[in-house]
Amino acid sequence: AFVENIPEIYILSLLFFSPHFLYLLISVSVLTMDPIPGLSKLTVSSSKKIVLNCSDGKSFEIDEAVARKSKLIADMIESGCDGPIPLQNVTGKTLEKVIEYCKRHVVEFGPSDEDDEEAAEKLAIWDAEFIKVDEETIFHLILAANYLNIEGLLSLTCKTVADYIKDKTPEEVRQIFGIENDYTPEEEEAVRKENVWAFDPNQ
Amino acid sequence: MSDLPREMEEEVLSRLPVTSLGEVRSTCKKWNSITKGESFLKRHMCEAAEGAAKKKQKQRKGIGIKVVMLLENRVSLMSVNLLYPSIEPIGNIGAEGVGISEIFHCDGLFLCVTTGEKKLLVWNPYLGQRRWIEPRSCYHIFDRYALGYEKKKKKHKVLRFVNNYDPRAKHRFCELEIYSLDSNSWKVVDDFTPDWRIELYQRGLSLKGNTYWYAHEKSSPGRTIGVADFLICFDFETERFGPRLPLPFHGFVGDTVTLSSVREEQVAVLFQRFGAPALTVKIWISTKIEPNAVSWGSLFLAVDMRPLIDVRFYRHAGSFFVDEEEKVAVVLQKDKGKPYPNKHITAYIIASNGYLKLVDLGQSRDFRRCPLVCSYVPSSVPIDSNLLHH
Repeated sequence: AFVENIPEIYILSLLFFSPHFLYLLISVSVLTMDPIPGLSKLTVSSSKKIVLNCSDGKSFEIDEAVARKSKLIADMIESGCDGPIPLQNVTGKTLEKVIEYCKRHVVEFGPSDEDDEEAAEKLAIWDAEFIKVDEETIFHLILAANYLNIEGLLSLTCKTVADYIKDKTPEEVRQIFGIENDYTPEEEEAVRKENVWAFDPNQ
Repeated sequence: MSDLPREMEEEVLSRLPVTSLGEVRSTCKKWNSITKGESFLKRHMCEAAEGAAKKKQKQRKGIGIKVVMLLENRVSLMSVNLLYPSIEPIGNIGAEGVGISEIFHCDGLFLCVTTGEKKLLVWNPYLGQRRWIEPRSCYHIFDRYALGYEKKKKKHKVLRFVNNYDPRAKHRFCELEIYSLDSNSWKVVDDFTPDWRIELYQRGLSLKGNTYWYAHEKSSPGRTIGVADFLICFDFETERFGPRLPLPFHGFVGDTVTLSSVREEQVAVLFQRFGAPALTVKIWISTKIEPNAVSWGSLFLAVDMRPLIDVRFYRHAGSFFVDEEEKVAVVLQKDKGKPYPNKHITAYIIASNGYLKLVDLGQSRDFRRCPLVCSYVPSSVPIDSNLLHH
């Protein structure tokens, strides 16, 4: 008599939602009971958050996996640093950009993006767009990547500046980077003469 | 940029190709000294040698293997991309307008012999330094040269020896002397009485500071059968030639035998028997090579040239290098071209499975010269050109 009175839709919805309901039941019971230590960490999928404090007072909360892209921070976590991490050498504006890079480049599980050709190309395109910033920002990123020890970002930023220098004449490079020409005409000629015996595409 | 610490400037500049260094050094004194330092060179080499696994990725991006080629009296740094394939010059040397007829590479230095009036020259392209080497008396037309170094103190030396019968002077010249780069002086070695011969067109291969040649036992003129052939090494440490080293084949005068360096650690030898139609080209790579011992690996590559295009690499040519991962060899050759008697320099890319690609490297106008390829590993060995003559 009890079953006859329940409309079909309730039975259907119960059947439909039951796997999730069961999962929730199990999770909740495991959480409260915690029969196996650490099991709660596995069933609850959100990872630990790390707080980073910048030199200008700004604060950022990011996933641990993202923070670990920085070898400096990873080492600090390994050696037991639990609270917010102070980064005196990085401003908020730069750190925001650095975090953007780390988020895109974090490898959760499975093969690294670099092994899959298509994924690698997509990543390269993202990198090219990411690095389209002004000169001052790139230099701040280079310093930050070096301080935080983020290999990929250091490589990307340095290569970008190098590519910029590559196809310019010395005079153009001096103007762009504000470098003074400290050669006398004789010294300049001597350097040019040395170049005669170096592999140069212009010879 | 000037706000960046020196270490960061090095990081940026080390990502520039070797061919941009000239312009970088002309920019300001600081960059000139940064790019000549030992730590910079190390960083640069790390960048370049970023793992063989990434080599294919690099080749897809158009970054190829770097080798040095001597084509038509000009030395160029070439980028070889085996995927497309393409061989492009990425940098030449002005060389003060001098033509080069022979070139040897050792430890980032090159020993060159000029065309025309024979002069000897040692230079380091990475630093852009060069030194002309004056002969003790004069250079002989049958001279053979080599560049090497003493391992212990890394003292670089140039070997000059001659072991030939000169028909005009009607006597045999047999001399051996060694030039030391730091003392800028020649030293004659007296007890040089070799019982072997090296054909004039055979080029020495510099490896780990010593030089290896393909040689034959001395025999009566005209006798070609049963003449022993072997590898012989000049040890720059003891300043003597070593014992006869066995080869994985037996060649005769007239066969094509050339040597090449593999990873600057082992020797690769190419062998093609003389004969028409052109026979198989075989290449072996050594597993151990020292002045007094050699062991050979199994056959690296064997290509029957007959069905392909019946090419016999002239014994004067056949300069080559191998790519171990791709299992190919790149061999330089002078082909008959049109209109006769013009010849073309061609690079043959061959593999055991019948793979064959040709890359044209331009016309050859100087009939005396053969195209040469050698490896190049930059180093910061200084060559002071300001030493006074003795």
